[in-house]
Parts: sequence; C-alpha cells; structure tokens
Amino acid sequence: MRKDSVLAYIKEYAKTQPDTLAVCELRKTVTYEQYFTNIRKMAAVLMAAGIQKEEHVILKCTQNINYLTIFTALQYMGALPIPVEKATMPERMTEIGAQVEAKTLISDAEAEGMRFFSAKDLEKQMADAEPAECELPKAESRSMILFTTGTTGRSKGVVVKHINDVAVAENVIGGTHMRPHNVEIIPMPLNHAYGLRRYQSDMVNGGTVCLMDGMVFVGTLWKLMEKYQASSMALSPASLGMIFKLSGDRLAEYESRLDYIQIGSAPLVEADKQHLLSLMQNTRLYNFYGASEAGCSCILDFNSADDKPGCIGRPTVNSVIRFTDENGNTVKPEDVSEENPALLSWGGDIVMEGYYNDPEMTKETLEDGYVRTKDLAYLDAEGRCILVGRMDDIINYGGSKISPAEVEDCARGYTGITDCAYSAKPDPITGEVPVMLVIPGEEYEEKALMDYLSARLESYKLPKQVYEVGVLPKTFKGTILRKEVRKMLDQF
Amino acid sequence: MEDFIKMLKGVKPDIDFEHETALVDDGLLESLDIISIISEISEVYGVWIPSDEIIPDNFNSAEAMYELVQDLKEE
Repeated sequence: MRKDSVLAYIKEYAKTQPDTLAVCELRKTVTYEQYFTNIRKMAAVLMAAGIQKEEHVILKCTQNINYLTIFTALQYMGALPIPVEKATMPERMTEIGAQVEAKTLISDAEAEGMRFFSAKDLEKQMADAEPAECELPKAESRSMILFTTGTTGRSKGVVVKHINDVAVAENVIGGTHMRPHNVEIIPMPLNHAYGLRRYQSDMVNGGTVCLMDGMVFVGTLWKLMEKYQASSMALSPASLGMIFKLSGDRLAEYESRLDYIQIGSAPLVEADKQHLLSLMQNTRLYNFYGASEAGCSCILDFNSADDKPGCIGRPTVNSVIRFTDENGNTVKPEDVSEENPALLSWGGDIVMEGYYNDPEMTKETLEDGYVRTKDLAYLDAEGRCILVGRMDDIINYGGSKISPAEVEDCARGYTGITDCAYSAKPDPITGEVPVMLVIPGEEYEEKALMDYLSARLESYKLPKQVYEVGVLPKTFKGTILRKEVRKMLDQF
Repeated sequence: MEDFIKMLKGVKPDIDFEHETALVDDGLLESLDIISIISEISEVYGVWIPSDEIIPDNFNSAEAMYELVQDLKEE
C-alpha cells in the first residue's frame, strides 16, 4: 500500500533494511538506519534552534548528504523547505525569502531579512543531539516549495505535497522498470525537480543514491561507478556532453552493468543521442517529459521502437492525460490527431497544490485538478504521445531554464543601456547559451552592466556574450519579437 | 609556477590563485572555468588530463593543478 511520504519509506527501510546504503558521496555514506537517525537528530537540532512547525525555510543546496539530511529533517519536524541553487547570491536569497515569507535561511552566508544558520554548524550539533520523535507528514500536507521559471518575468514557487513526491517517485520507478536495490548516480542539482525527484524515487524504491556535484569532475563518476557498483544514472544532456568531451567513449565500458540511463531537464542534441545509442545498445535509455508542476508525466525509452520524431513516450502510472483547445475547453481524444493536435494537460496525484501566493498564475495553470501546458500534441495509434510544438520562449541553458523577461527587467535597471533583449545562441555542449543584445546609452560599459547583473542574478542567468545594437525588433505594443532577435544573432 | 598562475589568471582574472586552496570547495571555480583550464593546459603544455584525474582534489589549488601537469608531462 502506498505510504504518505518519502520519509515514511525511509523510516520503513531503516527497520527492514537498516544496513543498505541510502545516500553516498565519494568518501562518505549513510545506511538507511543511520540516515533516518540523523534526520531525527537534525530535526531536534532545528527545533532547539527555534525553527517552528510550518515555518518556511530557505535551504541552499550543497549537493551532499548533509543537505539532504537537513532538507528531510525540516520535513520531518513539519517545517517547509525551499531549496535554492548553490550559486544564489545573498540579495536574491532575500528576494526569494520575501516572496515565500521565509524567516530562516540555512546556508553558508547570511542574507538580509532572515535569521541565519550555518549548514556546517548544524551538522556538528547533530552529532550529539538526541533524535526527535515527530509524527510523519500526511499525504496532503506540503512537502516543499520548488522554484521554477515563469513566462511572466518572475520565478514561480511550486507548492508540492507529499502525495506528489510519492506519486512522481512511483512514475519514475515504474517508468524505468527500476530493480530492487537500484544504485543510481545523480549529478543533477538537488534543488530542482529533476535531481530531487530521482533521489526521492530511489528512496521510495529502497535503493542507493550516489551524489556528484555536476559532471565536470568526471573522474568522480568513474570512481563512484567502481566503488558502489552503480546500476543507473540520471543525467542532463549537458552532463552527457561533458562525459563525451572529457572521457570519450568510456561510458561503453559499463554497458553491461547499467540497467538504464535517464536523461532529462533539456532536449538531447541529436548527435549525442545517436552516439549514446551506438555505445549503449543494451542499456535502457529514458527521457522523461514533465514539469515541477506535474512531474514525470510521460516516459520514452529512446533505445526502443517507441523512438520517433516528436515522441515523448507513454503516460506514466500516476499521470492522467487530457487535451484542451486554446480556450481551455476539453477536446475528446478521438478528435485529437496529427492533423489536429491539441494542448496537453496533466492530472492525477502528481499535480501540485498551486503556486505560492500567486492565485492568478495558479488559476491560469491549474484547471479542475489538471496542469495546463503550452505543448501541442496528439496520441498515435500505439498510445504514444507525439509533441508537435512548444508555445514558449524559455531559454534552456544546460538544463537551467531562464526567463528572458526576468533578465531583461533586471538589466533595464542599469542606467547605461536604453533597452535590451535576452536570447540564446546554439551551443554544442549546453544546447544553447544565453546572450544579450543591448542598445547602449552614453555611459554604457559592458563590465558595469555585468557587475550590475552579477549582484542581482544567479550566475547561470548571466549572458555569456553581450552585443551592441542600434535597434531591437518589437511589436507596435512594445513586445520583443523573440524569433527576430534570434535571427539578429546570426550576424554575430 | 609563475607562468602557470598567469595562465590561470587568463581564464579567471579575479581569483587569487597564489593563495586560494579551496578553489572548488568554496565555489570559486565554476564548471565552465574547469573546462577552460583543461583546454588551456592542453594547448599550452601539450597534455590532456585523463578523466580519472578530473576530480575536485586536483583543481582545489594552483599548486595541485601544477603538480598534476608536471606528473603528466613526466609520463
């Protein structure tokens, strides 16, 4: 019978398989028994520090066991973790804190407006703490707030419930045909849905997670493979590209050991996809389609006959598919076809509670318990979902999604430019790389612009190149014509 | 070592490579900086760092990187 939360599974495995490794780093491990004990001890430390039940806590991701312990301990004591990227600047932490009404920050540096606890200090205090006894969270209670990029120039806080965590985990477990005692290497950031949900799926399955901090230190990948006998990996296209660039075809040496590799967070460049297929002929290769708002809703094994252009695979076990027209009216599946595609919506236990403090955006996205997307699609005769197109302008930089409007709004605060447009150019490793066009003012200096942006934005959002132009393509209402901006970039 | 540090500063001018000993652990070098350093080392010193050696310990300080390059040149 399904349990109410991922925590409930960790507690169960602490009893039934106490010595199984739960989470590993290269030089540190915790078994399920140790992990659950540490979670309870950390909860005691957090409560003694004055953190309250239902309190919102910003938690900086450090991609290690201590981070996951603090994250889960916050859930165990009934507080609400809001994970943020490790490169988040203090000013941005303060903004996020205000947006989600967080009074507390757990990180490596303070930020204005919130009381601060050092993650490393909390870990030291945990050693001597008595484990807390708390009730496990209920399925419908809030699990976390995940930040995702919006199209309105502002990041949105997705309120996730514990039932969503478990339902999405089951989607991943079922979709990948995950074996018992699966050992999965996860280099993906644990503050975003992709990385977090892979970790959660392994916890629900009673398997082992091996953590890496990104893929540039590819030597760590090979050491983890050998040390923990990993049977699977969760990668992004950028990290796969990094493996190919730095290690050539070494991945093929592990073909017989790897049950599956799942690739997510961005589309896979065709050349890398074909190369991977040629190296791993007997390994299942998965692509999940989903969103923070409704996770892992469709799965494709692109090393199977299901792979065809535009195919995102089949709906997963806890996903309910629905089609609508542009006005939100339901379209009967028999009326949806290749000639007449419709907009995808997703329902079921994977659907978020809503966007934090944003009833307008929630109403626009959630309808009758379904998350509406801007993806046009249809189901083929075999029940596979085929994407026709995406009505969206978001830039995907190696898996990190960036709203152009957010960066442009920020840049326009710098007085040295009169206008700007944020866009992207193709890149062989990351898929696309962010750039900016600016109309310079009299006092424009590129360094001053970059310093201005660096103080206000996460580093991955900073444009890698800035080009000066005389004019930007816009509609008569002043909206940037993004396709025309991309065409302008061809000249640079 | 002086020339090596000059090369590193070419990749990331704002870092105190002479004194920093936790370049990776403290987040001073990002992923793309590491890639750039690996490419520069290949171009300037003619050595390609084998993937087993691309680990945080080998990039945490200028000294660690320099020692790695010297070891690889000797092989």
